[in-house]
Amino acid sequence: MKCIIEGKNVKVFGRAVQALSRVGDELWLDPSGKGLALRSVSSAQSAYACFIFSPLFFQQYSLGCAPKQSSETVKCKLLMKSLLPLFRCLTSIERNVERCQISVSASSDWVIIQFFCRHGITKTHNLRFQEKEALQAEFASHLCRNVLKAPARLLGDVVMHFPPFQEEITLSTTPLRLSLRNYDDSSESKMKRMFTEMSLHPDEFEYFQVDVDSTITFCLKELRGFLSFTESHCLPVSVHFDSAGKPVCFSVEDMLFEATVVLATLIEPESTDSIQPAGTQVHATSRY
Amino acid sequence: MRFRGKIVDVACLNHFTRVVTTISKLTKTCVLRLNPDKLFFVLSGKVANGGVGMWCELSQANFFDEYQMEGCNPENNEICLEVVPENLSRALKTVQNAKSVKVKLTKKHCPCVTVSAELPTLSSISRVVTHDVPVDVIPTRLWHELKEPSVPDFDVSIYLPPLKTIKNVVDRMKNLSNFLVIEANMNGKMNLKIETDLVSVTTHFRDLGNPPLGDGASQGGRDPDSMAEVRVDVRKLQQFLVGQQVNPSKSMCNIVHQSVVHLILLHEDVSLQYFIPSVA
Repeated sequence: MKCIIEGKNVKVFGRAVQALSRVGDELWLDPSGKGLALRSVSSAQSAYACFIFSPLFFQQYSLGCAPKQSSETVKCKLLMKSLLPLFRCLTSIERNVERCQISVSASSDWVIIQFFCRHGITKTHNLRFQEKEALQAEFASHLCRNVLKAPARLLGDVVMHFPPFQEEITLSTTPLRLSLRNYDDSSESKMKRMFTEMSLHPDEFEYFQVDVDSTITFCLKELRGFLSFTESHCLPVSVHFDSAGKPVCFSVEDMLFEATVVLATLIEPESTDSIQPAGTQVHATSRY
Repeated sequence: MRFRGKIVDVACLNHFTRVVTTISKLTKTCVLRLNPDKLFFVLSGKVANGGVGMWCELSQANFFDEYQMEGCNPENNEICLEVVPENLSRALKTVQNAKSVKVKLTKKHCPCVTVSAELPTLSSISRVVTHDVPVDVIPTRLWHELKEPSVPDFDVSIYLPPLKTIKNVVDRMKNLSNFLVIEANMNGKMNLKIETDLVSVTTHFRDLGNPPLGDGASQGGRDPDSMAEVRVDVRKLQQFLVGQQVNPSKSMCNIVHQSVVHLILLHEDVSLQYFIPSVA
């Protein structure tokens, strides 16, 4: 696989890597005819994120490296620790990098990322990939009974009211109102924690379909990374969810890419007796 | 015991938020004292905080459009609450663009100061956000600890140089020593100095001016050139300086020789006093 990303799209790609780094410690690169997919899953298997860049996103996008290669494309898993530093400083990428070339060859175990910068400087990074397998989560969003579409800045503005360290958040909807509040499952600190609640009217959403009243609790941390990506592109966010225990899916799409994050929700968010909240796992499978 | 206040003006909300944020940088917990005319943020100088004391006074009319309170009983028409100012600051910071902000004393899972705001939206119906900040009600028998500290019988009173300048100096001195000496005289001279085995550094300020002495000043026989000094923990001074977000209209300090330095910052509608004790 070989692809070239031009100009400001390098920053977009970098933002996707940053958003994925908030989810898991490993990143799966999965090139296919549909485009280049970047995926990550959290260690507890409770969060999954996927960014797919269509071939139109790239200045050049080709799958096989040489005619002799088999038609099967290379799928690889990289350590986030190796990849993230390359895309950490987006302002300097914006200023200096003219294009970025990513190539993977089946014969060796390297992913080669080259930054062609101003003043004729080329930076080449060789990252070894760990195994060859693909990651895919199965999530039937069409089966979700509740679907919302929030305008670009809405979710970010709402999430801003909760402290940065707030781990989990509870979202409650009825057809008339949507509310979010912070979730605290440790009863001893209950006395001293600050509680925040925010309530929104359906009119604030581009689309608001709530067929079943539901209250779901999920992890905010992984969502924040995704929201900082979507805000920078001013894209409306679709939210698919159902009752507690079933996963919630946030997604955006654009002509050039689509991005999804799927989060597990707690089975019994109202119960404060449970010490170990039993959340469902996001069903992420590896396949060859 | 009831308290209910409403802030409608954006500038007042902004100013109030900045005051609370400054307090949150000075101390982790403090007491919020409310009476019909004023609000106070108080930290009594106990050994637990290293003897540092703080007194911040605001006139409620300068911030709130509506303000109603009822103390425990008619003789003690005040409310004293122990609060973590950082929680209050965080709650206020998120509602800066609100149409109106209500602050009230409520009882949720514990006594709370609830900040609730109506936020403007593109649709006709506002977004409502509430933050419940947990507080501890302080019983009346402990109120004697929360009185305004009396101005000590000071040896020298002097206007401070710009806080930013002092902060720059103190930040660099902190790298060299844990203790810093503040000395000043009644002729407008102030020195900040540190002394270690290897090095001593002094920064001199001149022509600062001295505030007029009150009646019955005890400085009658004092030589205006003689310096009064206090040796303080540099981190405590730095903590005071780091929190300051707005330039005060007046800033001064009183020094009791080898005892305590009393820093006073006056803004239009807020006064902040900070006491740092000397160390041996």
